[in-house]
Amino acid sequence: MKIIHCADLHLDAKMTSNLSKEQARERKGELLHTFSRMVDYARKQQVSVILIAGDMFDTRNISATARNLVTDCIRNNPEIDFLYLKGNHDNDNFLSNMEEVPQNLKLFSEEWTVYRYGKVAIWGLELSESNNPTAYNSLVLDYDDCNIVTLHGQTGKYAAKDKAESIDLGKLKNKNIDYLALGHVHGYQREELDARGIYCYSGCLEGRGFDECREKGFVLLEVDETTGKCKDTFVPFAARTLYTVPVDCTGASNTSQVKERVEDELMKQALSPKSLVKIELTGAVDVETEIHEEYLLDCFCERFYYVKIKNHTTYQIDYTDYEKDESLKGAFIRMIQKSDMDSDTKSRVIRMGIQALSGEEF
Amino acid sequence: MRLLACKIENFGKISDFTYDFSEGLNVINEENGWGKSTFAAFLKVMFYGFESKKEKEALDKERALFQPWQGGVYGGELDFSIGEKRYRILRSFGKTPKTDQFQLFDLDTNLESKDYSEKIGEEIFDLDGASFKRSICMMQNEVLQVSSDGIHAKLGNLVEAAGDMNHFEMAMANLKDSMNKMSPDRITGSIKKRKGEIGRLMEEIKELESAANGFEAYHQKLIQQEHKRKELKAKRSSLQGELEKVIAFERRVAEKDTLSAFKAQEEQRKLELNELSKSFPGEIPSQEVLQQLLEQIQQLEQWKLQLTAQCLSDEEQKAYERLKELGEQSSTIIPEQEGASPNEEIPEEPEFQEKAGVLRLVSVVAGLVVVLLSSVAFLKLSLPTAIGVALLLVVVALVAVLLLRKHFENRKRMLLEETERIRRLRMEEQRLEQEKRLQEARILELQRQLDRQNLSQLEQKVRNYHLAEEMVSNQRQLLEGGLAIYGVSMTENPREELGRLQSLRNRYDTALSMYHTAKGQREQYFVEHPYLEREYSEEEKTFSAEELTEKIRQLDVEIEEVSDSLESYRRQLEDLQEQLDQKDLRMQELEEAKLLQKEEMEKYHIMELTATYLQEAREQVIAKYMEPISKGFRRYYESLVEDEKSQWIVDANMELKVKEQGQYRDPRWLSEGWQDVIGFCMRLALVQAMYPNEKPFLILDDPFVNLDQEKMKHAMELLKDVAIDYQTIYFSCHDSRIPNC
Repeated sequence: MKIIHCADLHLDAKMTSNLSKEQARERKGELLHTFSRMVDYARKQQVSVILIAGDMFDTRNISATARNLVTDCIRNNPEIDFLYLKGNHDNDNFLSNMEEVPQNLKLFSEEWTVYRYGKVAIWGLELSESNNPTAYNSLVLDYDDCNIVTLHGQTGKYAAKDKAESIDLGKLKNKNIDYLALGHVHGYQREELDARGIYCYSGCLEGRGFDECREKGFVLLEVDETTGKCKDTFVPFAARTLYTVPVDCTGASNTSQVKERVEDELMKQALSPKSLVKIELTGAVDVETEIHEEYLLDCFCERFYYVKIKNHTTYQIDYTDYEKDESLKGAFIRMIQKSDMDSDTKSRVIRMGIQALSGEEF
Repeated sequence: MRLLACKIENFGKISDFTYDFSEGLNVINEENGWGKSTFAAFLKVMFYGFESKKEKEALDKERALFQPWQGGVYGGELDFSIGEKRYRILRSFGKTPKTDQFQLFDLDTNLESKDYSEKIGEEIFDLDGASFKRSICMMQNEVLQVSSDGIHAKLGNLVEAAGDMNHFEMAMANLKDSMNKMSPDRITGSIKKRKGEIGRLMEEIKELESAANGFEAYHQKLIQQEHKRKELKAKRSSLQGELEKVIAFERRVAEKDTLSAFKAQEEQRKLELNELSKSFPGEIPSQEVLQQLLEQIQQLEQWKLQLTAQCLSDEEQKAYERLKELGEQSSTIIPEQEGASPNEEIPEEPEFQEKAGVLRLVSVVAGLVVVLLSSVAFLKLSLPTAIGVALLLVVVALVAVLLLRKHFENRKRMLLEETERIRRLRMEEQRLEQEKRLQEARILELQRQLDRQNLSQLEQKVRNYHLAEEMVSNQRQLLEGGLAIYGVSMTENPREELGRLQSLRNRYDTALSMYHTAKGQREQYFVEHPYLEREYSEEEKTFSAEELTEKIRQLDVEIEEVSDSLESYRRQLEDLQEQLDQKDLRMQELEEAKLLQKEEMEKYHIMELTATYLQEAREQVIAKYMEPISKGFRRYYESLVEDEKSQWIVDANMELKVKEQGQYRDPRWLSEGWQDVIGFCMRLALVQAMYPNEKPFLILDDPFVNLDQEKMKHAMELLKDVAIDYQTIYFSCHDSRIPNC
């Protein structure tokens, strides 16, 4: 039996951060298309269940396009069960607008609900502040079943904004869980839960911002119905991938040297032209080194679907170089050195002073 | 400090060049392009090298610029004295600072000295290379033509000329401009604008947040209405079920009626069939049997016809008997005929013989006619044969008659005309007689054959008759038996009777078919409605179908109303959700705006600090150099101009003001030549101020090109005066600008 575990689809997300209006519209369409492609993949691979571990939609108000596409995907694939657990971004809007919920769309609630497929039992609970304290003790799983448990929230490693979103992994250990299917964290994560099972965040289907870099997709579970053994594989599936490319500019003394380093780094990474790339300039450069970010953007913007340059370089300054400088700049730097500003402010003020004196744009 | 000598191995365009410096003024009067700048750069590089982190690019360029044109060792030697000691600097340069080499020798001991490091320039003059170069080198176009923006008399430019203070105004203007653009106080400032934007966003968010309460209220209403609709639908579903039951009951009643109708029809058909079956006198014959019986009757009739046809007529009977008799006699007659002598003599009298022959012929013809007639009479059925035979006989007879007639005519003629040929004639007669006998024998034989044939035919007919007789008898018996089964006697007209039975049978078949159809319909209906077999008790009917339909219709109206209200709540919820989505969006915008505001505020703060510190640094530089510059300027200016009456001051902003008509004004009235003079004095004053301890050498690159003859005279005097304090290397390309030493 094959099961797809996906989460955080955020369909209908506006995608306006970073992108132009046109690109945002295109990406919004791609988000929907990727979901549709995933359902096609499921049909071709004879997947029995698509388990959506929360945040199917991004906004309360779902567009007719998104609603119809999802409904059609569900209705047109009656051989696939869509098990949908609502996340913090979801509300009843999608379901309440349906005259009749399709038979193959199965829902979870704020009480533990189970759907059985032979020896495979898929459990799910929509966490809330009221059920969170009792959620763990009320989960009783059969030792002989292959138990897949679904939740949407943040594991204890991270601080959840909302108590309802918090998942205590410690309390889920030794409960006969084979696979804990989680949603909420947008990057793929897979770790051991206990001696028997694992927990896994499938991540989102498509990255939306540079906090969602690298490959995105879903997890394909293959369950041996006789032994109950469960094999999980991450399937990269996004139409486009976002990358943050750090470029160490330490020692570079001008924009063209920085450009060369960016070129070298991009060459090494060999990213697809479809990618969205954030070039992050790092390292310490001499305070007199000019880095023309707009020029760099011009150089690389045609290479990828979207390029962003972020200059995180810090300034390095050797005050001894200016000790005997009988110029305004020398006097200025010596004065800054003697001031009680913190070193970061000092280097920024010096950088700006040098920029100003050399007629550079700020 | 004093330069003693230098040796340039290779440096830019200068190669293998030595120069011994004298104390005071050193004049190098060479044409343009000789390499004055290269020489000046060499002197500076000997003290400072190319190395400088701050001005990496400039000096990297300088390193490349002075690469020896003809190759070879890149560098040279410079001898100088400082205090009581004399030193030699040796420097060679590679492509990068790492490959540069520096050595310092004490010229008195010729040993390598460690008194100074490779940063010897900074150690002697307490200034870095760039400051040194900027202060001691007064190049023709960069020193005296300080500026062209109308601030020629600005003493501050002296200091600016020493560094990047000439950029101060521009830097401050840029900073001020950027700060104005970002200003948190000006309405055009981006920080101020964003502040407004943030406020507006916060207001909007606050307003949109109220949608959450409305959303909750409407959501509750929606849930209530959904619950109500669910209940109504359940009720409707129940009523629908009841209605379906009632409809099913009514349908079954109707179906039962239909079934009863089918049954009644079947019974009726059965009755009709039974009635018809009684109309048959005996067993009910099948259509096939009736057909067979009719065929048997037909065969019987045919046999009867045959019997009639084969019955011998009286004539035939007689002929038959006669032929039978003839058949019995033929054995005696034929031997008699055969016994007649063929050598019978011809009668002597031809007439008798003629008459006998004619008679014989007539009798033969008559015999033939008789035979023919009898054959015709007896063998009616074989008339063509008889005719054929008769015709043959007639032909033969005619041939015979013709031959005989001819013969008789010949004989008559011969009797009349040729008596003597009697013998021949007799012979002929005998031959003919013989021939005649042969012919008669043949005729007789033919007659016999005819008789035998006729007899055989008659015998066959008799046999046929007997056969027909037997068949008629058998057929009759068989038919009688067959008809008796179905109540039909042979005495009546069996064909008519059978026709009646056939008609009856047709009606019977129609009735049977109708019966089967009715039965089939009933059975089919039963198969289709098997439940009708069961007996249904009178089902409990609370309401009639009409009543239930009406109730459902009312419920539908209610559901419709609830659905409308639900739709309305949904729309309102959608509006509110849109507002909440807008709130999320605004919050995101607010977050971004706040982040940007923070960044800009920080940048603005950095700009403020930068501007403040730049201003302070400028003031510090000015404060340091104002008094010495002012003092130095006075000295050089007065010696150059010899105008003690001129009243001028240097103000706190390092601006030179000249007293004119009782007021200090900008010295804009000064001619270009005077401005150059003032600029030169300023630079000298600056050097004096910058090098309070160890006096450096000066490099002057033809600074007086703009002076008229009168001023030139003073300038040359000043130059000599300066050379007393500073070892001066003076480049010029014209004799008119060479001082008389």
